Parts: sequence; structure tokens; C-alpha cells
Amino acid sequence: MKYYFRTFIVFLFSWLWLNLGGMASGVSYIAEDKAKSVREVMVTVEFNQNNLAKVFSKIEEITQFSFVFDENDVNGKEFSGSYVERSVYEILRDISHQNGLTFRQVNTNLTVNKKNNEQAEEVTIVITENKTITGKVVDQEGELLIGVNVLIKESKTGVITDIDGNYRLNIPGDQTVLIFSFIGYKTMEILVGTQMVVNVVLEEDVEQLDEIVVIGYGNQIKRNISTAITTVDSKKINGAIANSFEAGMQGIAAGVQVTTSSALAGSAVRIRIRGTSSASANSEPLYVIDGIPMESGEISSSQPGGAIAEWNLQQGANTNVLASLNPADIESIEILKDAASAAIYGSRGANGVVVITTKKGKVGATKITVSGSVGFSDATHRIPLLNSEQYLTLAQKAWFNSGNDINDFWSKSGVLVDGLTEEQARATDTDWIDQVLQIGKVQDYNISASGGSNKTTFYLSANIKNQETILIGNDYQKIGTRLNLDHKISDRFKVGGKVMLTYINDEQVPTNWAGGVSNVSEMLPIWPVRKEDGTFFNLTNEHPLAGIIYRDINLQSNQILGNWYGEASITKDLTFRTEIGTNLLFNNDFHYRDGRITDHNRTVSSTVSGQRSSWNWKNILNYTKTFGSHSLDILAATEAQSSGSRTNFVFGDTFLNSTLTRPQDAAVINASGSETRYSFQSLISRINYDFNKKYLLSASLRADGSSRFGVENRWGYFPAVSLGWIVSDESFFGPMASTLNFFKVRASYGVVGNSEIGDYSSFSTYNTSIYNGNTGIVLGNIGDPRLGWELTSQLNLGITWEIFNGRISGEFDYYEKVTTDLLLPFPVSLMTGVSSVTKNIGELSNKGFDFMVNGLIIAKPNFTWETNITLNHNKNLVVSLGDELIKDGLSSSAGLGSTSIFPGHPVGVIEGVAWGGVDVESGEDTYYDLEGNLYLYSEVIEQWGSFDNFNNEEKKPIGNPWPLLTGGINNSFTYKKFYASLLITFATGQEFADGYTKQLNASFGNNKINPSTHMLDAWNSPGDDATVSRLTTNNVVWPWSDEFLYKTDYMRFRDVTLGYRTKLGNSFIKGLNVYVKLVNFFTITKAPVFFWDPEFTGVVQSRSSNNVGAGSAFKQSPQAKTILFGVSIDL
Amino acid sequence: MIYNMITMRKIIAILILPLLLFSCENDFLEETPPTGLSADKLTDLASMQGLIYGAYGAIRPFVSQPALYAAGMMRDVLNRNRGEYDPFYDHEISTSMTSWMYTSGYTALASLNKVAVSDLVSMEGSQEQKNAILGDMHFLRALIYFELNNYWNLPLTGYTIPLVLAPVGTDDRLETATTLAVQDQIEFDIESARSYFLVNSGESNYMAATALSARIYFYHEKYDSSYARANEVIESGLFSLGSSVTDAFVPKGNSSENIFTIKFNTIDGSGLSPSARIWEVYQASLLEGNYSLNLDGSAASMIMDPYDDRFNSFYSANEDSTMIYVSGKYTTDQMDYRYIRLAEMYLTRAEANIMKSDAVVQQDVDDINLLRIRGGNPASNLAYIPTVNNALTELYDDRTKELAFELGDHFLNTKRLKREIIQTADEGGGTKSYMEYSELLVFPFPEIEVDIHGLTRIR
Repeated sequence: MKYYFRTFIVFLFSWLWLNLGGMASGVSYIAEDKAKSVREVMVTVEFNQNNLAKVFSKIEEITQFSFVFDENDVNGKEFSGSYVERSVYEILRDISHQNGLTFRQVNTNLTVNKKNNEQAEEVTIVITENKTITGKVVDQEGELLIGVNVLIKESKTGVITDIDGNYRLNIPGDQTVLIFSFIGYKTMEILVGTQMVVNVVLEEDVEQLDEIVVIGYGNQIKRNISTAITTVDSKKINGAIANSFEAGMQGIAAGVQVTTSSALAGSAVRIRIRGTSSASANSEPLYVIDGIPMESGEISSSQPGGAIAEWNLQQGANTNVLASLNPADIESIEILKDAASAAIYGSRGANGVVVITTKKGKVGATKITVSGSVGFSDATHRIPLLNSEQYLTLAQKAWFNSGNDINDFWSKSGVLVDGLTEEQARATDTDWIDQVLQIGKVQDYNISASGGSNKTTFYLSANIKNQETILIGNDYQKIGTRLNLDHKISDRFKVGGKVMLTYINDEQVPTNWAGGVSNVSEMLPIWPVRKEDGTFFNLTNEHPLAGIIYRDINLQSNQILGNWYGEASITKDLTFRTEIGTNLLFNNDFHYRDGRITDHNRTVSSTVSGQRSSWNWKNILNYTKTFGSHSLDILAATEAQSSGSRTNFVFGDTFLNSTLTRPQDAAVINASGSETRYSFQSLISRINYDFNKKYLLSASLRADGSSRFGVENRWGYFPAVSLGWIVSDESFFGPMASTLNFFKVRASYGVVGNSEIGDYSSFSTYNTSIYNGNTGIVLGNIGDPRLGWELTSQLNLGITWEIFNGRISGEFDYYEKVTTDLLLPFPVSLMTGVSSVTKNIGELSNKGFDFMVNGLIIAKPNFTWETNITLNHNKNLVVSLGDELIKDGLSSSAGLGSTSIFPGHPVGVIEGVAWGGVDVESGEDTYYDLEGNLYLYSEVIEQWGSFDNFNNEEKKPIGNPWPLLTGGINNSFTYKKFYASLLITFATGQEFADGYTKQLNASFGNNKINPSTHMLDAWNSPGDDATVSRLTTNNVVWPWSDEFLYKTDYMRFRDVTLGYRTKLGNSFIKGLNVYVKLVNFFTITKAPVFFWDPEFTGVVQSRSSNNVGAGSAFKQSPQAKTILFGVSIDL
Repeated sequence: MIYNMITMRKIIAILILPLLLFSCENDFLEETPPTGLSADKLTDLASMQGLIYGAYGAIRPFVSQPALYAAGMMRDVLNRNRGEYDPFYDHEISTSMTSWMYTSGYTALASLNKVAVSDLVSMEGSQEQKNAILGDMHFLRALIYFELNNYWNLPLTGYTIPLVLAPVGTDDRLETATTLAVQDQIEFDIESARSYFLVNSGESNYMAATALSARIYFYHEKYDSSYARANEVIESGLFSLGSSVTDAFVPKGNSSENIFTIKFNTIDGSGLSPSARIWEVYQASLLEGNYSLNLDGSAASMIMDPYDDRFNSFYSANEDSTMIYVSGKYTTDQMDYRYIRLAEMYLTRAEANIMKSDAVVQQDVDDINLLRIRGGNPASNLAYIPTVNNALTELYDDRTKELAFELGDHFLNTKRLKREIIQTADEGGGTKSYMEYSELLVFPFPEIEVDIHGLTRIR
């Protein structure tokens, strides 16, 4: 019963809105014909107390005349009369008598005015000889503009330009003014005069207030938007460099924080829109590609072999599913940042929504574009490891400082392993970084064809990408195609479809925990790479090069993404659209580890075959109507989605010889698999309304049901409302309008959810295990039928402004986001059989502002300079955990790993003691207790017994992985046909804890590793002001202190481009664009020298723990900088 | 106009109606896990058997942890590379060390108790099948509570871990049980296991339950019963000592000395073998292992007999003999975990006999000598019948020699006999009396259990 009630509520909302529009409905159309006098046109019609607007509308319906009037002159006035074969003149005359109006006919236009003078003529008629003019409309680059509106001013008469940009129009006389308007271009008014041919060059509209913005389930003119939506210029998406389009959004959208994890091809990208809105649930935004909600994240639901004891491969390295989309195919990206805009996506909008629309064909001649680029990459930074001489100096110093006889160094310190002699060690100086890094190469080729007739348009593209990254052994190939087709069956019906096919072949290498480049410190510079017999020296998984060579990781995927739609215009104002989308993803992963690098010395391999399939069906009713000063856009829709995934693992252990690698050939074969499904069902409604085009209202309500939620909490309602006021259109604003020509204030509030809780979290389930070859089961999860989504409410206050006729424009938004009912692992008694259950509890907030300004600084015919600045400040805070049991925080006991959640701190902090620096006299580390008393390390041990005890008693939350300020500055220049741009991005305020530095700072103990040159600055003698304590052979002290917390503020020259673009008269080649691009070429950072790069997500956690695990890392891997040469040819 | 509006609404209604009905199809949201078992599916003997195997799998870490921790607590182990074990090393036991054992024990109990409260009688299957399942359930429950009680009971107050005999819900709140109540339950369970196994063996069997009952009664100080059970095992003739001390520890060997082992098998896939933990931490490598034998510890003085194979075969030293590694009992991480061996039965029979009768007889001496002879040191044989006290001292040493770094015997035996232990240098050296450490060397409850249930042993 409650489901009918839910449906009733939502559709009542929609129905009311529809009726609001329906009451105001009426039809009119534009006609163009040779004018007749109103005295000549005879009609039969009856009016019965109709308001004048309706009367005019009716006359427009049955004649060729169009009325032009001011609403204020006719509002509240009514007219009655019955006419049988009477002239329009008589009707107008009667109206004039009853309502004090005058009419002036100029050809087919009837202009209505108040009668100011009793003697004034009621109806005047001016019929002029029609004049036919022609012309062509092009843009500033001479490109033909198709579909430009050409309208006679103060009339509704007009035409649109054809596929050659031409138009032909009858006008009443030489004094006619034509208005040329086209989306994205400045509107022009031209007095025809004596001209017979009026050619027009339209300028691009830098204000872009009339730009159409995709808002989810529809479009809206940017000027009328009252929510916080950022449009990303798809031309700025750096597809050639970023394997995945979202990586290219860095620094060009305010409030969107983008972090790439490493130079590993296809590796994960972390996106946070206005901070992280969750603690443990996935906080990536919802991606909607051509209307299909996508699952972001790694393609493989598990690491290769990950379920079977081969866990140590960086999980986030798995090929990112969004990488399947070719950035060159993207037409537009809109980011719905506030809850009011994202609430249309209901329970999946809490992390913001990224709406991507791919390119469509345009009416006109077929346009073919061929482009290609070749690039070369290197690491953004190389860790300065100690060389052989430096290492020996420090190692011997540590040996001596620890009370050992320096003469015993070679024989007892443990540096001579695997048969190495002192002489050989002294003669060796291996640069381990050289062993695993190379100059990377990338090639990217695109070809696209688009065009079409008035009936059918198409966009067809193909893309090939081939990349060898800076990590030796890491090769990435992508082949993709796309076909987008739209066809008009009739004026009322159209259909279309979009299909994308992508194949990815990714040869990966281990990084981070798994080794490879992240293990360069694990080998000493005095150790050779290979022994004299050619075999690897000291061969273990820690060997950086052997770890790559003896490991084969291949990830392949095929993705088919398609959607099909049919659209019917039920009336002029009412459309119905049905859309079905499918997403099929098949992946085959292979992972082989030679026994020489496994701990157990057995060769193992595994394959993972995965399949994800989902379908999505939407039905959308859309009613748009403008009547007088009121504009309505009403949406009512339903949506259903079902998704499933199936994964099969085969694990092989122990092989006859090295020619056998597939798990099927192993001596011991183990198979397992997983299968999950989820579904969503939604009812959606929205109204966009504006009055006088300056008072704006948008309201939406979505009801979402999901199989993921417990049966007692299955449906949620997500309302939102936003208001806007275009102050600059008010009469009182007049004096300022010459400078501040546009000023809009906005306010919005909405509620959205986060449903990323896993598919069966509300179920009690048992996991299988094997005991002595028999299948066993153990309790895996205790379900909670009350489990629901996280709820995020957000208030947004913003302004949009333009000065100097749009030369400079900007937006500022302040927001407060509060997330309640956090999905947290809530600790339960271990006697239940599990340690935690998922529960809706706790609250966190994100507060901050977005700032964006665009300025056309110089706009000379031969030289332009444009600047875009984006800035976001965000503060993330856990407000409370909502239960007495966990009020002080949740830590590793709840399965959150080394990181924790504490009220009053951001998500993802760690717990550690305060480090007081190195004591100048003794060279010992010093630490503060919670009361602020300073102790030497030796005093800590004496008083607390161990550093563990001290840490347990005196630790506190430290660190903050989330930047306080992020943003970018982009400067673009054109000089004649040359262009250049410079994008600088930055992030400040974040602090990361690096666990590996604990080992680096204890390099000379039992675990021999080679630290970076920062150890050369270790304390040496009394009076030294050092950052590293006295060198010893002590082993690692693992508990955290803020000694290992590092600021990673950075400013990076993300993109520097220099290019030349020209139109060619050549009939074969119509345009040419050549460019050179530098990516990540220069970075200023506070990160220490032993960080490969300030921008990293550490050991990439699973996406569900990406927030709580964001604050610490153990091993890192490098990022790449690239120089790219590209060419694009229009045929 | 009105006509138009009505027409339009009809069209909308016609379009919306099917969508509306579709949207109300709530079954669409009924997605149940397509794989795996949910609680409502546990209705037959096969699933009961699955719970039993699940419990066996879950106790792999449970059985190997006491051997590791107990040795350390007695200050018999030198901690080499693991800074975080310092509190443990100084007789300060942290919950992070012990909660794994507590967790894996109660995880297995959750499965066993699910079987215990299920209506097996109504399930389709033979009585033999049901007996096997019930035998395993009682056997494992006895084993788990025996181990938990050994480490968590506080002698001073007589309270120990909570006694849970049915599945625990997330909202349930429990309290600690008396040691006597838990001991009664352990004895009830092991006797029930023996009874069910008389009809049909399960994964375990009658003789394994009998041997475990001998151990249980021994530590419960019920020496009559202990003697009878140990004697039954020995006299059964089903088991025999290997000719070498290493026979029982051959990685893939099938020694007739092993009465009950926790299995590890590569086809079992994920999860550590129970022996892996011990193998890893005692590796004879300066770099890789975390523990070595502490030369100042009491165990070292008992074990380091250069004439005894039980030292020479199972231990090795570094070059300058500053570290002694426990290198021979688990030489790979791929071994079954030896839970009860026949050797223990001989020592138990001898000591139980002495304790119950307060006298030493020739059979007791023979039991002791049997293992010494196998240890390759006949010169250490007792050629006479010693006094009770001397015999008990000899047995204390011999149990440590024979069973060191297995099942925490040295720790449990020291507590059972209320012997002194050696203090660390930080504690001032010398020894610590039973009264001092009997409260100190008690495993703490995991913090979360205290927070949720308010568990306390001081009531």
C-alpha cells in the first residue's frame, strides 16, 4: 500500500505542476506570407469574457497575424464578442473600444499600444511592398553557422539558416531591423537599409549566459539556472595524456578535486566534489554518460588472484572503467555540485553528479577530423637515493654510534648478502631507479566523421591509443569506436541511439605494496643488479627489477555502452521521451608470479573473468511553456535500473616448469567466484519556473527505491528547491548596469543520498571456507533490515556576475553540506561471530566556497588574452559518531585499518603522538605527551616502558588528507593563427602520513634499505639542529608520530600548450591545427624529497575505504611529466 | 482550448498509467544474494556439516596463538624485530595481541552454537551422520572453551569468559561466567563428544576426544579422570611413538604419534595454515624471524640439553650462540598443526597418577624414561623411583622439553603448579611469585567487549 502512496505523492506533485502549465496553455506560431490588410481577412469566432492575451492568441491561430504587446497593457483586460464572417479589423476596433487600446498593422504584425489620446485612430494599417533579402551567416573563423535564427525585430517573422549557412527572408521595408541569434554567439541586430544581401559574422559569446546546460533529465539556459552547476569545457580535457577523461578535469572546475594516483597506465583517479561526503562509503561522484548512470572504479571487482592470498597488488591500479570513454568524443561535461541540482539523482547524488554528453552530428556537409599526437614522458621527480659512497658513510656511522666495533662492519652488519664480498660491494654503485624507470611514449590517434541531413545526423569516431609509461613493462592499449545517430521520423517523432565499443589491454607492473618502482629503496647501492652468472642478486620480491620481470599482470576489458531513445512531441509544448541504456563490461585478468619472488617459493597464477551488465530504462514527460512573463519547464519521469556482476576466479599453485603459466596447468587448481545484483526504481519530478526572466525557481522531488537498502527502509524521498533573482534586470539597478551588466543571486537547498553500501549489506550471510578439502561456512555478515542510505543536505548561496559587457564574468558559491546517517562499520560484540555491522550512524560536514572568474583581458583583432581562475576552499569535519559506544572515535578495531575517524577531525586522520624534533644536545628524538611535556626518546622508554605504551596513552588524531584550497589558473592567448595556454593547478593545506619513512629513517637496523639524501642531514654532534635523529642500527619504531606527517602543498604547471591553427582553402584539407604541449612539467611543492610526487593517493585503498585510508600511505610511486606533439586536420 | 487540455491530459494519463504501475512493482527491488548462504537456508544436515567445517577452519589461528603468546609471557622468548610486542614482553599483555585468539574462538563458537540450537532431530539423515556432527560440535566447543578458560580465567575471583551456548545477537548483553561453570560445560561437552563419537567419528573421533579429555581433566586437576583417559589412549594401541623425536614433525608425514591435528592443505586456498604463524615468527633467520629463545628464560635452562635430541633436533643457534631459534618443530608453513601427541599422554598419565595417589610407581618412571630414551639420552634415565616432589620436578622439566612451543604447555603448567617465573631486567630481575603473576598473566578482554558488555572478572 505504501508504494501506491509514494507513487501518488510524487505524481501529485508532478500533476499539479502540469496543471499549472496547462491552465496557461495556448498555442501560437510564426507565419510568413504576403501581408493582407486586417480589413481583408474575414473570420468566424466567439469570445466570452476571455482575457486579451487569449483573444490575441486565438486570432493568431486562425489568421496569419502576429500580435506584439506589452503584458502590462493587456493584463486583467477581457473581451467578449461573436463574429461570423467578419473582418479582423472589426474585432480589433471592438477591442479598442472596450479596452482603450490601439492597433497598428505593419504587414502581418499587429502592434498593440495603450490609447494615449482619445482622438487616436483605433486601427492603423501600413502595408508595404515586401522586399526579399538573402545572406550567409558565419562565425569569426569563417565556419558556416547552420540553424541561426534570423528574426524581423518586433515581429515573430523569421527563418533559420540552412546547411550552407544561407537564409532568404521577405521583409517589410528598408527600415527593417533583423535580429541574428544563435546559441553560444552574441546576438546581432542589423538595419537592412538598401542592402539586398546581408552577410553576417557572429561573434562567440564570452558571456555564455544563453548557453544550454545539461542539468540531468533535461537542459536549461545557463542564465536561468539557480543551482550550482559547473560546465567543463570539453576542449580543455586533455585526452591525449589522461587515460580517463576525469583526470583531465584537474584545475578547470571549481570545487572539483582530482587526484591521480601514479604514472601507472589506467590507474585510478580520485574525484571529490566539494569535499568527501562519506566516511566509509564510496565518495566518487555519480557519472552519467548519455543518461546512463555508470559504475566508476576499477573494472575488476577484485585484484587478480586477490581473493586467493595474492593480495599485494595495488587495488586501485586496476583499469578504471571510465577510461573506456574516449575524451575526444565528449561534447560537454556538467558537474552538479549542490544538492539542489544533484537531488534529481536522489539516493545517488550525495557525492555530486558528473553528467557527460557525447558529440552529435550536425546538419550539413560531412565533417571529417583526423588527429594524432605523440608524446614522451619522464618522472616528475626522482627520489634522490644515497649513492654507494654516501650509503657506506652513513651505515658505518650508524654501526659505530650503536656501540659496535667499526672493524666488524663488513662481517657483522648484514650488508654482505648472497655471497657478496667487501671488494665487490665497494666497487658497486647501482642506481636502482634507472633499473625500473624509462622514457615513456604515448601515441594517440582519433578519426571522426559527423554530419547529416535535416532528417538524420550522425557522429562516428574511432580512437587508438598506445602507451608505454615511464614504468618499465607497463604497456597500455586502447581501441574504441562510437556511433551516435539521430533521426527525425516526422515533425513529431524522432529516434536515436549511441553505441560505444572499447577494448583495453593493459600490461601492468607492480607498484606500491606490490613492489617494482616502489621497492627502489629495498636494495642497497652497494648491491649489484645481477650476479656474475647473470641471475638476479639477492632475489626476492623486494628486488625492484626481478619483481617486474618475474611477474606478469595483464588486464583486458571489452565494454559496450549503448542507449536508444524515442521521442514524441505530443503537443507543441509537451514531449515524451523513452530511453533504454545498456552497459556491458567483460574483463579478463591474468596474474602470474614466479616462485622466485614469492614468499613460499611456489609459482602461482590466477585468472579472473568478470562480467558486468546493467540496463536502465527512463520515461520522461516534459512540458515547456512560456506564456506572457511566465516560463515553465515541468518534468515527470520514471526510471528503473538493474545491474549485475559475475566474477570467476581460477587460481593455480605450483607448475611443472616455467613454460606453464596459466592456472589451468597448475598442480593445484582452485576456483571460486562471486555474483551480485542490485536494482533501483525511481520516480522523478521537477519544475523550473521563471517570471519575467528574472525571478527563478526550481524545485524537484525524487523517490528512490533500491534493493541495497533494508526492507524496512527501502524508499527514500529527496526534495530540493532553488531560487534565483537576476537583480541586474531590475529597474533600480539601472545606474550600475553600464558596468555590472549581469548580476544574479542564487539560493538552494536540497537533500541527496549515498547508496554505495554494497549490494547485500542488509542481509545476514555466511561465507564459505574450506577445511581439509571440505566446504565450511562461517557467519559473514549480520544484516540489518533498517539499513539505508547516507543523507546529505546542502545549502548553497551564490552569485553570478558579469562586468564590461561580459568581458569579465564569475561565480561565487558558499555551501554547507551536512551528511547524516553515515554508513559506518559499527562495532558489535565479537561473540556474535562478526566484529562489526554496517549501520547508519554519525554526522560529518563540509563547508566552503567555490570561486570562479573568467576574463577576456585583451580582445584585439589579432591578439586575445583570456584568463580563467577557479578556487575552492573546503573544510571537512566529522561532527559526531552518534552513539555512546563510539563517541570518541572509531579506529582499527572496527576494521578501518591504520586510520580512524574522530569527532572534531576530518575523515582519514591517523593517531599518533606529537614529535618535538631532534634534541640538539643528544641527537635523540623528542616527543610531547598530551599535557605538552617534552621527553627524550630514552625518557619515554624509561617512563612508559616502551614506545608502544607511550603511543597508546599519549596519541591523538593528527593529519588531514584533504586540501583546504584547490584550484587552477588558466591563461589563453591567441596571436593571429597562433595560440598558447598555461594551466597552473594547486592544492594547499593537506598533510599525509608516510609510513615508509619510518623505515627510511631506520635504514641501518636489521632491515637494510637505502634511504634518500635527507639522511645526510641527520644529527651528528651536539649543537646540530637536525630533522633526523642520531644514526643508529636501531630497528623501526612503528607507532605513528607526527614526525612522519608531511605537508604536500603544491603548485604545478599542469598544461602548457603552444599551437597554430588555420583554415585552408584547399578543397581536401579545410583546416589544420598543430601544437606542442607540456604536461606536469614544473612543480613547486612542500613535499619532502623522498616523496615521488606531492599528488598521490598513497597505497590506493579499495574505493570504500578511500576516505578513511586517505591520510596515510606506505609506499608510493611516481607521476609522469610529458611533452606531446599533436596535429589535427579537418577534411 | 478546454478540449485541448482534456485531450492532452488523456494522453498524459495513458502514458503515465503503465509507468505508474511499473513503478509500483516492488518485487523488482527484491534482490537476494544469488550465491552464498543466508541464515534461512541452514535447514539440513549438509549445512550443519558446513558449520562444523567452518568452525574447524576458524580455529586455525586460535590453536596456534597460545603457543606463541604463552611462551612470550613467561619471558622465555626474546623479541627480535617487533617493537609493538614490547608490552607483551614485559608481562604487560595488550588486547591487540590477544583479541585475535578471542575473536577466532568466538567466531567458531558462533557456528557451533548455531548447530547446537538447530533441530537436528527433524532433519533428514541417518543417526550416524547426526552423531558425527554433534560429536564434532561438542568436541570443538570443549576445545575452545578449554583454551579460552586457560588464558582468561582469573583465579583470584573465579570468573572467566562469558559462557555462550546459543547464537548471540547484536543487541544481546552478556556477563562473565564462573570458572567452575565453564569447566563443567567443558567437561560436559567433551564427554558428550566421546559419547557421540562412540557411534560414529566426525572430522574428529572418539580417541581424539578421549585424549583431549585427559588434557582437560589434567588442567582441571581431576587427576583420576585424567589418568584414566590418558591410560585409555595409550592402552588402545592405536598410537605409537616414532623412533625419532622428529617423526611427529615431518611436514607431510603421517606419524602414528599424532592423535589429533588441525589440518592444512593447499587446496584449502586462502588462510594461513595454523603452523604458519609459529613457523614465521621463529624462523632461524636474523632478518626474517621475530622471536628467538631467550637464554635467560626458564624454558631455555630446561630445554638446552646438548645431549637431548629434543634440543638438538628442534633448535639452532646463531654463530655466537646469542640467539636460539625454535627451528625444527614447524619447518614450513604448510604443515598440519599438531594439537595432541601421544608423548603428552605418557607425561600426563605419569603425573596424573602421581598426583591422584601422592606416590610414584614404576609405571610413572617408565613413562618418563620412554621419552628420554627416544630423546637419545638414556644416561638421563631415572634408574630409581624418585620421591613425589622429585618426580614432579622431573616431569615439569620433561613436559617443557617435550612440549615447548606447542600449546603453551610450559605457561599453563607453571600456573597449574603455581611456580615462580623469571622477571625481566626492567622488573628488577629475580623471580615473581604465583600470587603476583596470577593476576598479571591473564589475558585481557578486547576493549570492545568491555565497552559493549561491561565484562569484568571482578564481581
